[in-house]
Amino acid sequence: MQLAVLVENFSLAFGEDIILNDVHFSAPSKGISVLVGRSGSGKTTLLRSLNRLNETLGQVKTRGRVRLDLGQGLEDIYPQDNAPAPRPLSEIRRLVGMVFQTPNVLPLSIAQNIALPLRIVRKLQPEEIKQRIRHCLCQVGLWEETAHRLETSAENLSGGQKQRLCLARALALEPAILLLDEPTASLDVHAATSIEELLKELGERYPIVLVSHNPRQACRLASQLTVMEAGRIVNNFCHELPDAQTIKSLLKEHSPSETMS
Amino acid sequence: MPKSDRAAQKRQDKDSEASLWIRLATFLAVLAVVALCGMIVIAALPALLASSHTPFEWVWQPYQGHFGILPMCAGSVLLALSALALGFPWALAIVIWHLTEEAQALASARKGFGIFIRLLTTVPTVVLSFAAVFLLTPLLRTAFGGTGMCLLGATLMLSLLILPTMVLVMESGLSQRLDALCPHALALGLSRYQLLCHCVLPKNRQTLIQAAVLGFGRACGDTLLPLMLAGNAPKLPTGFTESARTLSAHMALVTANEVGGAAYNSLFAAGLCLLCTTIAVTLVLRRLAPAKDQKTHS
Amino acid sequence: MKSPLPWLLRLAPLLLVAVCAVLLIFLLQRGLGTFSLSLLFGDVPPLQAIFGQRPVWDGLWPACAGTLCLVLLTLTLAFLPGLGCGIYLAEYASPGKASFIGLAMDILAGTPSIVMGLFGFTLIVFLRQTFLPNANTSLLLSAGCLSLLVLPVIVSSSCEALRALPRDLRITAFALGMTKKTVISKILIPQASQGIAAGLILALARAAEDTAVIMLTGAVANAGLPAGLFDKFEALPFAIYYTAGEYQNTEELARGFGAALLLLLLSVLLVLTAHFLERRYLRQRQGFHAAGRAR
Repeated sequence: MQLAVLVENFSLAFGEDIILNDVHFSAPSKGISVLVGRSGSGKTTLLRSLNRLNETLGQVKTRGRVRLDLGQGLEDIYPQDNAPAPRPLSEIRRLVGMVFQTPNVLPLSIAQNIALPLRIVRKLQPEEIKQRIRHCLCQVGLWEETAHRLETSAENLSGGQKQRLCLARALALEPAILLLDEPTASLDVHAATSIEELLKELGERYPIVLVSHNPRQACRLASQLTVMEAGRIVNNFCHELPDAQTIKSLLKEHSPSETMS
Repeated sequence: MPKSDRAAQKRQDKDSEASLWIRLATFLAVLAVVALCGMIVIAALPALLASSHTPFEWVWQPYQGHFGILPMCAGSVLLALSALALGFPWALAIVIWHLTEEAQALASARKGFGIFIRLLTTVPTVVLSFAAVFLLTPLLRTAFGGTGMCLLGATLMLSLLILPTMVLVMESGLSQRLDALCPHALALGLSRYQLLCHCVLPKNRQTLIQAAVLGFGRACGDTLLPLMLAGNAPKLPTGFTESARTLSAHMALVTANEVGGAAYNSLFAAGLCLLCTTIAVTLVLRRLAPAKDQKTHS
Repeated sequence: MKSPLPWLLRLAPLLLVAVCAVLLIFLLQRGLGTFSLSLLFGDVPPLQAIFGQRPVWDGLWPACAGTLCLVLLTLTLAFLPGLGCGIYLAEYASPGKASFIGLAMDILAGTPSIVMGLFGFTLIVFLRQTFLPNANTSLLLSAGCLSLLVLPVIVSSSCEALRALPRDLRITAFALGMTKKTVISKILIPQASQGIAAGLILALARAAEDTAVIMLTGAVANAGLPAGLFDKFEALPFAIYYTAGEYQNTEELARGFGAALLLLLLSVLLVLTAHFLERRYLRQRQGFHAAGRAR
């Protein structure tokens, strides 16, 4: 099976706090890989290691390898001894699209939310930007609702609409991999369902790594399921996925009261 | 590390490095402070080292060769302290009133008073002095005789000048802590006033000291009020109805009437004294500030 | 339940309000009557006065024009260094460097304006003795010293405005692949512009009202309209100071009251504007922040 993400012996620390400890993780080039774990287990940090976003949050020390398929086979994204240097950070982050738990629209108009990164990061011409805005908004099913008010502030959209706009914004940059950090956690049931539908569709075309805290959602979406606990991977299911009840019990089983080895 | 690697590393470092104009701007800003202090120290050196015409004597008679600035130093300190003695209790009383029941009950009046205090900090000192020259000075003249230009007038107006600053510092330091304690204390049957006087004020002396030090710094540094109201006689005042001269006013007067070389020397010495005082004030305030932060965290 | 407050506490704020009211009423009573076009232009037609075709001897116009030029020049000189230093402090400086720069700015903010003026004066004395025997106190020198005075205001306000921006905004922008430079210039600065503007207006007010600096660095009583960067100039606060000591007749005195009232109104207006801008900015930011934090 072709891999889009390969993490080997990866450890990460913020100052003295070790968040990830010798993690092995891989994700296939098609389908949704779901990361589950209790809060504080390091799943979000692992996700943010895949586009090196942890480095914007403070002093970070890393060890080990993270390789991503950004279009030319697996390549290192952290500097390694005796190897050519990785791509510049901004390029890595552009090729790895990310959507956050809370819909982080920029405080600009709907169109500008998509256009600004395209203009600054991709340096595209206005004509092409226009086309892409339309294309991406169609992709996430937002075009019909917003076509008539593209120039109004994105902050007036509903939670679900905002989250779809964030997805559209990530897709507009033509990412090779999509990272999703509990993308439905701040949405109501209805909006969450429509986002899940959308993600299933996108999973056919993109490698997606998704962090979830909801066992049922993990069951619905996952083509591969990884359970994390205290900065380590404790379970990995590739073929026969467990049901929601099993996942729930797995999360309980590895509670922090258990002594860590 | 191979060469290409280093180049790429360099490029990444460059991405997260400040651009040239930002670094230049920062450098310029810091350089300005260093230049300011350095220039005044260098200019004052000849006066400090001079054996004749030393500025550190008690007589200022430029035509007889006496260029002493000590009376002005004393004038500055005296004026600042007396303004503080008047302004500090006044400010404290205002803050206590503002934070306790009566003002809390009148929400709109309280808000209006807050804006009023904030506006007071922005009244140009020259306007304040101008109004005082034509309103307060004649009053003092009829009350005490003489010209009416005296230490008392300057003290009164100076205390008015430093009052709003001190009120703001005290209020920002005390109000949060009072509000945090309130639910528990009110449940015990204490009033806000009792809580403030018996618990918050004694526990937060640092805020009060901070306000006093800041007020002292402001009072020392102000030029226009003493210049226009205190009469500017270069001698040690012996009472509140006598004329006095401060360092700041002295500097304004000497540069206005170019007397000559040794007078200039005393000017720079006066500037250095004033600068040292305010730097000391700044350092004391910085020492007090982090301690305050720790307290709020604990 | 009301606790019995000592009457002294009640008296303190009342006394303050009363004193200020007396001063304000006094100023209004003596100054309001002079408010008319002739306060500014004397008996010269306003348009001719504004364009400098005829000199104004008995009006405040030259002083107003001088203050305007001085303030604009000051902001021109202080804006970029202030903004740049604020950005560095908020976005780049390591804790050690930040504390050092903070100390420098605190010292500058605490320095009395007369010492800034003395700095300018010393500079001229030095230049005269060395390179430029003809150097003299001037508009440019005053603006330079005033820009030192307002620099800490601009630095701290732009730094605070940037720090008030939500962290999510930064992370989002980084996740889209922008470099730090583009994040700052294209996302953060535009978002913080209102807060920065509030600081600029506050700086404007400080530069307009300060008297001690210009007294030592080139303000004079009778210079007419500002002629050039290297010439002496008139300014509103200096005119007020000068009138208090040297007025010849009741007319000049009345003009002094007019000038005092004008300067008071100007600075109150500027500060209220700055206050309003800052409040609105912080409210918006906190609103966005709260929305971003809601889980």
